[in-house]
Amino acid sequence: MRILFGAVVAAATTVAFGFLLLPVAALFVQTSPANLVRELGNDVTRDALLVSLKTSLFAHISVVLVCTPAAWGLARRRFRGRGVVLALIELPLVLPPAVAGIALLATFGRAHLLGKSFEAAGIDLAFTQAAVVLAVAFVEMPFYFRGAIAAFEALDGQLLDAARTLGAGPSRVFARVGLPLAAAGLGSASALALARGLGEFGATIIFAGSLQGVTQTLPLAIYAQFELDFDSAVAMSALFVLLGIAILVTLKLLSGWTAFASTSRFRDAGSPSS
Amino acid sequence: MDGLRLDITVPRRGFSVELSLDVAPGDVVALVGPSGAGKSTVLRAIAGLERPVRGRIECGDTWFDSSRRIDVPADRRSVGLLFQEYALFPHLTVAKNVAFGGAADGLLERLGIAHLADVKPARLSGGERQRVALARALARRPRVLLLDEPTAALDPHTRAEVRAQLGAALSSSGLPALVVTHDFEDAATLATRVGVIVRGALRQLARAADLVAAPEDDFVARLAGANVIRGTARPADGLTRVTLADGAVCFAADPGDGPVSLLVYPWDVSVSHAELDDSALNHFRGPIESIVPMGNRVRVRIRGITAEVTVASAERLRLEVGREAVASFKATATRVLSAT
Repeated sequence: MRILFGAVVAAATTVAFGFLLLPVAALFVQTSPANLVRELGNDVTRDALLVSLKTSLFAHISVVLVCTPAAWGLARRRFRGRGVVLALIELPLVLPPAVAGIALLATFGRAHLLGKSFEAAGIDLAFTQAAVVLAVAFVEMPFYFRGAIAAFEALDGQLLDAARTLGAGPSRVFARVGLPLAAAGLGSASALALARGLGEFGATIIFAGSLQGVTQTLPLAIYAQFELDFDSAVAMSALFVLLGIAILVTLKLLSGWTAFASTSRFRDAGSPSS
Repeated sequence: MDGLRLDITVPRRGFSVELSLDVAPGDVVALVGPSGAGKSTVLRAIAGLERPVRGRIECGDTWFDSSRRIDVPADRRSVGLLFQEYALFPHLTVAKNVAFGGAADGLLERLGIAHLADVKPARLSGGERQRVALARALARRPRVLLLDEPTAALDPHTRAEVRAQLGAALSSSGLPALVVTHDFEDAATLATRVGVIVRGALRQLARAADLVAAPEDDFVARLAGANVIRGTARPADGLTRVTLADGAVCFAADPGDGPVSLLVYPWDVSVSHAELDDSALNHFRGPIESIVPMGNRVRVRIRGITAEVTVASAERLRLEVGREAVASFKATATRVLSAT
C-alpha cells in the first residue's frame, strides 16, 4: 500500500507538471531564437509590446496606489457588512472577461452611464489607450486588492498598537509599520495582478478594440497574427512567456529582499478572511 | 509630575471591568489576578487602545471623560506601555526601535543595550528584548508607565534579573506606574501596592505584606501566597545571611548578595511560645499583631511575618493578639529574590 500510494503521488505530480509545462515548452520547440529576434524587428510585434508594457504598467501603478490604502482600511476595520464588501471585491474574478468588457462599455461607452458626462466634457474613451488601461485595471484589480487585504490582516495587531502608543498617528503607523511588514505579501499580490493584467484579452478587445500601435496589446496581436501567420504567432507567444517569467522573477526577488526575518508572520496573497 | 487617576467601566465578554484607582507619582500599583480577569484591559483602556463605556482617565490632562465626550487618541496620550511579548518592530534595528518613541538620549547606554544598537530584534534574547522595549517606552517621555506581564515571556532564570532591572527603572523614573501580572513575586517585588482583580472587580488593594497577612478571602490568600521580607544579603558559611531593616538577621539557603526580597510561605512558618531547638534557623519573637481565621486555618502575624496554622494548633497554643510568640522557619524554606 505504502509503495503504491507513493507511486500514485509521483505519477500525479508528473502529470500535473507535464500538463502545465509541455505546452509552454512546445512554443520554444516550434520556434527558434532567430525567429524570436526577427519577431522583435516586426512592426506589429514591437507596437504591441510597447502598448502592452505602457498600458499594463500604468494600470498596475494606479491599482497599487488606490488599492493599498483601501486594503489597509478594510483589513484594520470591523464593520457591519464587511463580509459582503469583501465578497464584492472578488466578483470580477468569477466574471468572464467578455462580460467585463461589455460592463465597461455600458459604463464608459458613448451614450451610456458615465459616457454621457464624459462626452459632455469632451472626453472620448472609446478605442483609446485610456480604454485599454481601464480594461486592464478592472480585470487585475481584484487580484491585488484581495492579496493586499490578506497581507494587512496577517499583521500582528500588537505591533500596530505599540506604534500608536509610541505616538505614531494613523498615517505613520501605516507607512512605518504596516507597509514594511506587509511588503512580502503586497509584492506577491502585485506580481500576480501584473501578470494577469498583461495577459488581459477579452475585456480589452470588446472595450478598446484592436488598433495596431494604439490599443493592440500583445495578446490581441497574437490573436490577430494567429489568423494570418501561425509561426509568427508562436514566436510572439514565446516572447510573451519570456516577458512573464522576467516579471515574476523580478517581483519575487523584490519582495524577497524586503521580507524580514521570521519574527513576524507573513501570509502569501491568499483570499482574505471574512 | 502628575498622578494617574482613573474610574472606568470597560465591558468584556460576560462581565465588565470596573476599576477606580489613584496612582501617585513614584507609586507602583500591581494588578494581580487570574488570566481573563480583565487586568490587561485596564492598561489598554488607559493607553487609549480600548474605549471604556463610561468613566474618566486623567494623568495631568484628561485623556478620557465620558460625560464631557473627551477621548484623546492613543498616539496623543503620553503612555509608556510595555507589551507582554514586547512588540518590538521586527524590521527595525534596536536603535530605530527605540528612536520610534522619541530621542534615545543615553537610554541605550543606561539600560546596557548600546552594543546591540544595530541588531534586529530577531537576534535578541528575552532579557535583551525586554530592555529594548523598556528603552523604547521611556524614549516616549511618558507620563505613566504601564507594564503588561513584564516577566511572563522570560525563562525563570532571567526573570529575577529582569525584575531587578525593572524595579530600578520604575523607581528612578518617578512616574506613576501600573504593573499587570499573575505572578505575585512580580507584584511583591515591584509594587508599592497590590490590587487583586477577579472578573473585572478589585477585590482588595493593599501593601503586599498586608495582603499576605490579612487576605480578604481565600482567593486573595492563595494568590498572595508568600511573606515578602526585604533586607540586605551577604554570603556566609555556605548560606545567605540577610539583615532586615529592623536589624534582625535571617538565613536562607538560596544564594544572594545585596538588596533582596525573601519569600516565605505562611504554611512553612511555625508558631510556638519559645524558640525551639529544632532545625529551623530563623526565629522572630514578638507580640502577635493579628489573627485572621480562614476556614479550618488561622493566619497569625508576628513582627510582620505571617504564619498559617490549623485552628486546632491555634487553640492548643492559646494564641491571642498581643501575646508574645515566636515565628520560626527553615533557611531551606526561604526563597531569595534580588530586588532593588
